[in-house]
Amino acid sequence: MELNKYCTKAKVKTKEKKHCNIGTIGHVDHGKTTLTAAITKVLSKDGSAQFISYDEIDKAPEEKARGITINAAHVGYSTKFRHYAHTDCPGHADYIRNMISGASQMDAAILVVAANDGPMPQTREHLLLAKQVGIQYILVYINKADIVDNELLELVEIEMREMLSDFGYDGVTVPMITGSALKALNEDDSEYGMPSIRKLLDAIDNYVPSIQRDLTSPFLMPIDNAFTVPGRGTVVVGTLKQGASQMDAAILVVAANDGPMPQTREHLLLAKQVGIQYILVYINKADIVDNELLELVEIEMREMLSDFGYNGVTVPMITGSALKMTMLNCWDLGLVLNLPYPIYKYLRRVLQRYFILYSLPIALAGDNVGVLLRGLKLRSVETGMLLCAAKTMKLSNHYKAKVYFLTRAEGGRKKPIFSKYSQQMFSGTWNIACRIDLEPTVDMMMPGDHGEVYLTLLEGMVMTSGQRFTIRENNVTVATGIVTETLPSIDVPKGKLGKVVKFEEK
Amino acid sequence: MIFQLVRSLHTGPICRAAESSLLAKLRKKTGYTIANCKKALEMHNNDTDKAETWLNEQAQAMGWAKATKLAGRSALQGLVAVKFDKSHGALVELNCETDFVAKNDKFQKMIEDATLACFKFAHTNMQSKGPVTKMELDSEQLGNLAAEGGKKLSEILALFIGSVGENAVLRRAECWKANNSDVKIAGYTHPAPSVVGDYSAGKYGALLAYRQANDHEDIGKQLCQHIVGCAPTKIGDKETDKPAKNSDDETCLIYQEYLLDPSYTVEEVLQQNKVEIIDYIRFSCGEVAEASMPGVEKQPLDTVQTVQ
Repeated sequence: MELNKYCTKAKVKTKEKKHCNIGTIGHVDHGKTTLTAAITKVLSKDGSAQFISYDEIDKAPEEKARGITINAAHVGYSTKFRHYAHTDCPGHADYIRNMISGASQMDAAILVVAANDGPMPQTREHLLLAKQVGIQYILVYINKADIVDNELLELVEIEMREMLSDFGYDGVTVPMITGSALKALNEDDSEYGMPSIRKLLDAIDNYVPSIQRDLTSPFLMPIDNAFTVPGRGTVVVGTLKQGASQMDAAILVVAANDGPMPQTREHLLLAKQVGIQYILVYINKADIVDNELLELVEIEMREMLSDFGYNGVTVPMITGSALKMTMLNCWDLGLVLNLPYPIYKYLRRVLQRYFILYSLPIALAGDNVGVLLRGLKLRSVETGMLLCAAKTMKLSNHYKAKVYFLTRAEGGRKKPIFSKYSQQMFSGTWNIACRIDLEPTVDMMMPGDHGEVYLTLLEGMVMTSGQRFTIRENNVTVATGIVTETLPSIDVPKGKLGKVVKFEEK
Repeated sequence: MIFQLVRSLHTGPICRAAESSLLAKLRKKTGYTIANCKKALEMHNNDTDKAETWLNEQAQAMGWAKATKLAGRSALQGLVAVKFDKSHGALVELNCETDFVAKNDKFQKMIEDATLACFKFAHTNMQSKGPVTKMELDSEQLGNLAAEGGKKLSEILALFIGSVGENAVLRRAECWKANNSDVKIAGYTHPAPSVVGDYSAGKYGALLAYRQANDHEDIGKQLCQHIVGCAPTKIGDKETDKPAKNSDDETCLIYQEYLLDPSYTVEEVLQQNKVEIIDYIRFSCGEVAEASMPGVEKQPLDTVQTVQ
């Protein structure tokens, strides 16, 4: 069967500034928060960040959203080269849990060590976590350099290089910057003050390579919908997902008269889980409410976005009425080209309904497209199937995954989980019966625990490493997870998951 | 080894004087903060042995000072450890501020030492009325116990606080002794170790005192696992307690669905295996400290069984 597409692979120039997720790691008293505040202070002078004070960063922990508890403050700033999403790493289990659920992620880490103490016993645990979660790029900021002499500074540097090498990092090439975050925060211009921060930012810009969006992987599209076009054939519709990246921007539509709904939190949780980094809010039906209400909705939304780790301050919010927009006249099109790309995409979709833009010359990852499949009957296709380039994906019903079980307080289970636990797994556009088995050495998993488990699905599906999913009991999310490895399919006798033999019964 | 590394760093700093390599050696050997190592060398004319002795003496005093300074900080992380044999059991909770520290081997050694001290304490000559002698120790009493080397647990704790720079608390302990030969003691922690032994540490732990006839397979450990997993608040009395309407919310041990086989209640399992439960205790790491924290979303507490 030939695939005839209205879209082709494109050479894309991503115009937006590159993005990097970075975080601080280190002992509680060595100055991570001061450093973070100092970075925003230095950059705020250049106009590329908003200064966020020590207190604001410090008070952030224990944000409890209905869903996963997010124990970290998120700060955003930009250098000339890149935009950074900066977070702190206060706990091991917290970080793993946030990483599994997609709430936070670090591509690089700044290890903060105070020069008067030097590395602490638990610095090894910090590095162990970094290694465990696959952080490839570490930089070291040797803080409080102003209260010790050069000899000590040299010794700390040597110790750190040795320790980094112990953990498989290249101790020789890791950038180490000495300075005093406190001086920088107090706008001191001496060597250890603000200049040390600029040196650190330069080092990050140069040392951490940009994460490339995967736009060259084979075509991959989960099918949302299918219909017949008379005289043409079956058209399947979905959103392009190439490689491991999906949508990287989403428009959250909230009606002004209702404001955010209880399930808006679930929408944001999903956005976080699938790795959407950019959210814009379109406050719809603005014409039927007054300004006071609009302001309230905006404030609520900004707060809620911050709860979920987005920068509630910088998220663009547009108020309007979509209904009125569909009456847009052709000569107004001239205006839309100056809008940010995601808005343009949204409007383009709206306009497509009126055949103003009929076919897409190119489709990028994140675009919603229709694909004509000649020779395929409508009833052969259903939601949850995947359309991909020939021979590029494999089906399997058996995977390894890292899973986090929500606590009771987060809306999860009360009782522990054992092997052979079977419930519904939700991922992307589909859901399926799924059985979880624990490693033979693990007795049980309690709500609040995270760990590696084996998944057995009722039928073979396509799941890629890094793909996120949730487990639901009676439509209530009890666990969130991320696939780590595809295993060979395993036999499900008579279609009954309970009869699967995972580990030989003793 | 450090010298070789230093020589190979042509891009890095150059270590000049012999003093700094002494400093490096002292630091590497003792693990005390660099600033203190330097001070020690300066005070003792670069005599590393004298410096080391001084540092060890200071460590205790500085540990106390640091412990006092950090005492107010909340310490919700840490571990719960259990050590038991047929007729004695100890359950200990040790807290710290971050779970990084809880994973560190110094912390793990300390809780093992503390649990051993409590286990020894359980072998006391004291005996209460009834089938089990239960001794509940608070932070202070725990601190006064002596570890293997003769040092008090509170001193070891202060040294530890000095080295990791975090608040740490010997939160509580329970030391049990069976008073009769037909009474058995079992213990369990979650996570449980892959190799079963008489000591383990995890985020939750439980001790159980029970009687079971020898002709049935011992299920003490499994009952402990149930207690850890299902968190009952009391054993329950058939005469006075009624089962809850929703089995999910059942707090009486006897009416709860047995964790390892939900088709039976614990009561039925006890009958089938001829087990009589005398008493149990469950610790969840951080629950005591969290319960007294203002403004934190409180989850239902597990009540601690106290000495009769």
